[in-house]
Amino acid sequence: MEAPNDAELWRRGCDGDSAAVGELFRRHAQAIFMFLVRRTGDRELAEDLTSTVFLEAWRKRAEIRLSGESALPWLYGVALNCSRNSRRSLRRNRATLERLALERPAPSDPADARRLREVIALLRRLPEPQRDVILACAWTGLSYEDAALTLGIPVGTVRSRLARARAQLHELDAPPLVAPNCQDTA
Amino acid sequence: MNLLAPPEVAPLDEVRTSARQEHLERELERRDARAPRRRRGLRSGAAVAVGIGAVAALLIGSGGGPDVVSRALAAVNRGPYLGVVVRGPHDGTYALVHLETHSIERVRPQIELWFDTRKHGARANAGGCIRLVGPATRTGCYGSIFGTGDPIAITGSLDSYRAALASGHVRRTAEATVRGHEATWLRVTPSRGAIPKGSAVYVAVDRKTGQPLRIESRVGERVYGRQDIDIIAERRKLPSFVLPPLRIPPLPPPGKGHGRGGRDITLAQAARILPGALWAGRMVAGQPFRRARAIALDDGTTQIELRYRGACPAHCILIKQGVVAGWAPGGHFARGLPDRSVLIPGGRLGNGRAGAVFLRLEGTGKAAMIATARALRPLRA
Repeated sequence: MEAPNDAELWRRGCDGDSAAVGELFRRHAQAIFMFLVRRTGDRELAEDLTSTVFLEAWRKRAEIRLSGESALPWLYGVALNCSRNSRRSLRRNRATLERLALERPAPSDPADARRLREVIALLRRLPEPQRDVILACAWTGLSYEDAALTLGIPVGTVRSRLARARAQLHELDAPPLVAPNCQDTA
Repeated sequence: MNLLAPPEVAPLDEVRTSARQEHLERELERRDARAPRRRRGLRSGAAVAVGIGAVAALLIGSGGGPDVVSRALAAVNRGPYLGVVVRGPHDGTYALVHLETHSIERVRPQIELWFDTRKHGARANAGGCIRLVGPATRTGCYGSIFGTGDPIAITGSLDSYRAALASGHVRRTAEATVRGHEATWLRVTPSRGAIPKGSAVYVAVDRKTGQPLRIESRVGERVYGRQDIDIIAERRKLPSFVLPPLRIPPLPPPGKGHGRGGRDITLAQAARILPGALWAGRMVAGQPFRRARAIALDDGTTQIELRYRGACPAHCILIKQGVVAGWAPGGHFARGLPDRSVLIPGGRLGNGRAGAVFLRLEGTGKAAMIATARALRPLRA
């Protein structure tokens, strides 16, 4: 039996099939969670925001039409907005999240947590638009096109911001630079 | 420090992912249930609302009622065989795990009941079956046990509902929109002692057709049972797949059908004893594999048990497997499941089937159970 693609699941979800949205969550929750951990540096916050991303996506379902087969770039975009406005997003869904009776997550490895904090602290020396391009392209491995969709900017802007970010990182003396994962899909 | 290489991040563990997925589905169901009322409210506007209210008040307070009751009676007096489907809330509690793809599908159980409308009392209940319905799965209709003494009107005995309608032992309590239909709520007076003291049965019927739409059991204002109902067919003959209702069999005497003793075995021995057996690896849901046991059943077959972590039922996961859907591995219910699947209905038990092997999972948390079912792989000798 061929599994339905994301667009089909999303269509079913909009028609009231919560299990279809659940399946989307199952497919993409890990990726969204890791994206959010790298953006916020806080695993517990990222967990709640992961749930919030899907709740917010469903809340705005009337405005959304998935263009490609994968919902992931679009979900990254929702995740980015949720993390930018994390207080507001969490406040809006506070009652919902409170009904999730889940124990606090086990603390992560202190060494890993420290490394992550250090990397994020360094990255925060860049302006936010450049940080987000690094996050989307270098850390998440999105193509230029998908990064543009995630960030809501033209592909050319992704390229130029990435170039500026690389140059600025060089100025900040944060070597060694490696080629980012962004690639043209064409 | 290479800022262009992604920092290492440990993934979210499986148990927490499953718990959050279940929570998401439940919350969307809640929101979906609330949304139509709001949307209709926005569309209709105050003037229309006043109009509807006036009509509703008129119907409750005047002669609209008897017509509703007679229509409700006519709707369930067709026959001779009348099929009714009862669906519980789709709250995402039933998880069907497909063992080949390791994917989860949320399924909804629906009970199909057939009545012989020429008969009365418990004899009117002609049989039934259960289906599991999900986005990808439509199981066949397979028989299950029905107690003919189910106290709730319609689901237990259509006859008690008909009798209440015919004798006037119903009271109109409210007008409402139920499942998109203009409906009247009827309070059905069940027979004495049929339901717990202080509780009552309410049935919402379509105001135009009289068809039952929803049944609720309430204590005061609290609803503790809610099921959607549809009349699905009216036939001359009972469909062949409908099985007669079975009474719940008495518990077997001690030892009968049960295992005797048991011995610790190695995994290789387990694979030889039960070809096709499955296991969930050395560690599942944070619980390490502890031991395998073989238990000889009275019927001559052998069941194996794989235990994770400590003693059940404190903190453990137990996988029981055998070649018969007998005592521990699930019972007859597992026979109706799709091949290579495990159904976890919501508590701490799961039943499954993988070819000739019947499985039963026992554990101390649903998320852990689901994680275990998804981790099941063939046990190699």
